[in-house]
Amino acid sequence: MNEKDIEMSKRMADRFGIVTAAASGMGRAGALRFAREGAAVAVVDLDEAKAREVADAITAAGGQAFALAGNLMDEDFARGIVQETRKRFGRLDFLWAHAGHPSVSRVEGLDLREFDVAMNLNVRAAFASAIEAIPHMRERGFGSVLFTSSTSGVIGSPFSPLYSVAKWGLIGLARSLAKRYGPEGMRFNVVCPGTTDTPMLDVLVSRPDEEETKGRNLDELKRVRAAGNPMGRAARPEEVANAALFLLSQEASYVNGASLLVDGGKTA
Amino acid sequence: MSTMQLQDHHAVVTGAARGLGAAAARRFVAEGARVVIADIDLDAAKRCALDIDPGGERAAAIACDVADPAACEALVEASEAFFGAPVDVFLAHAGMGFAGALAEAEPARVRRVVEVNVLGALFCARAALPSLARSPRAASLIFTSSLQGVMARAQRSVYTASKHAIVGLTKALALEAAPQGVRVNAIAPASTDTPFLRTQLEAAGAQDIDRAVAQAAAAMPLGWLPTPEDFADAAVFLASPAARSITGHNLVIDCGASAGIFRRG
Repeated sequence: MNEKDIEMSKRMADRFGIVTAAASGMGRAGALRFAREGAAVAVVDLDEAKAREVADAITAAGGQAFALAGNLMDEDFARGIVQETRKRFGRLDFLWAHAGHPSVSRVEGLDLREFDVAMNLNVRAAFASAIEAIPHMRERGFGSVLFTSSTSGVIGSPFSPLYSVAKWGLIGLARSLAKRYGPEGMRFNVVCPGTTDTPMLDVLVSRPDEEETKGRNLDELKRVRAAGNPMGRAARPEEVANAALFLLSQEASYVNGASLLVDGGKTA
Repeated sequence: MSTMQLQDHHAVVTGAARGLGAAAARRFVAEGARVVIADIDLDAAKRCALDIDPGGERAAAIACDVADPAACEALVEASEAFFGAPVDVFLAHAGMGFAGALAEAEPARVRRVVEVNVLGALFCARAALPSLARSPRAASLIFTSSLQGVMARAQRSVYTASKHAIVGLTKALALEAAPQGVRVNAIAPASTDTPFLRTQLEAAGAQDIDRAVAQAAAAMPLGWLPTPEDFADAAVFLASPAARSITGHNLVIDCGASAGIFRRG
């Protein structure tokens, strides 16, 4: 096996925190990377088996992690992950509230329960976890929270207005929290990925209620979507995790209320 | 009519909720055995048992932290209750990986790895041997060692030490249990080709996972990595009457990696 054991100082040494939706995609890439950089990670996801796999892989590599499975739409769970992590690790330094939901394409004739779902998982869950984390971060005098918005959080999504509502909302949330809690040493930032090669991309290019994409070849749809940016490809999950790593680490100690686009130049 | 190799055998597998342990447990059932799926993660063990046998007749899940001697004893007792008979095959597979420079390792984590990998195997054996001795069949105790039980790797000192310990344990217990008709062997797999391997490579810092897996396979004399099915095959063999004259043996499933220095081409 290719082991380049280059001695580098670890970028998240002595940091203890949470990554949600960490069983696959960007969250998984983040959990694995943060752990390699010295962080202890609570791997949170709906998929218990996959969350454990990520946690086990981290542990087997000499890092520290445990899996927490549950549904973040359940408020008790969204809050509980903070308490459980604090209990297991003794402290909480970072939270990447990454879990999101692609929502639906529809506007006219929309059942407004879809609105609730879009807001629940994309915003409410992140908000709930963040407010639980605040007292713990206040105790330590520092802490870093990261939300995941999207290019659809800085421009209007032509595909899903509901998705844009949620993703714009997260940026507003981060900016406000940054202003209120910055004096206490806490930072709230946002990462805005463009087209990224993760399981969710399958849904983002072809939402279940989208007429235009029904029955079309998924690989072709993804190829076309990925080609729609200056770099001509989708981001790798690691490329978004790299940005998350920076924003959550001490290297970003003066970065607060910021939205970092990782979109290949799409919205430039 | 095909003869199943483990017809009517009663088998216990620890660390059986996932991976190699689950693969072996599944194969045991396929070969006619009834199996207890033991794991520290009861939910995962139950899912595995249900998946192997939805009827719940041939596979049952029992929680067990092998580092706890009382839990191992309770496991054997509960297994005998499920079988209505002594244990015929015990695959002490539960173990954990651990990597990193020893100088940077936290003592508590080192301790846990040794507790699970070495003491766990010991306590399972201690609890299972009396039952195995009462088995009407040629009883078989199987440990899971590793390629790191015969060959070392840097950044794996704790894991290597724990797996070398298994090899010694296997030999000693083979001698101790032979008079009671119980055979004791070990299986030593190299890293197996599974999705988990890919996650491990990524956790360890590999940038291009496909390439890392391909490199690992290319470094093996046979040109591929062993699979969970290879492990299951070995477990069935050692558990079966076909291995009646094999005891104290460490069966290495490593595609030739430990045979010597190998350069392709």
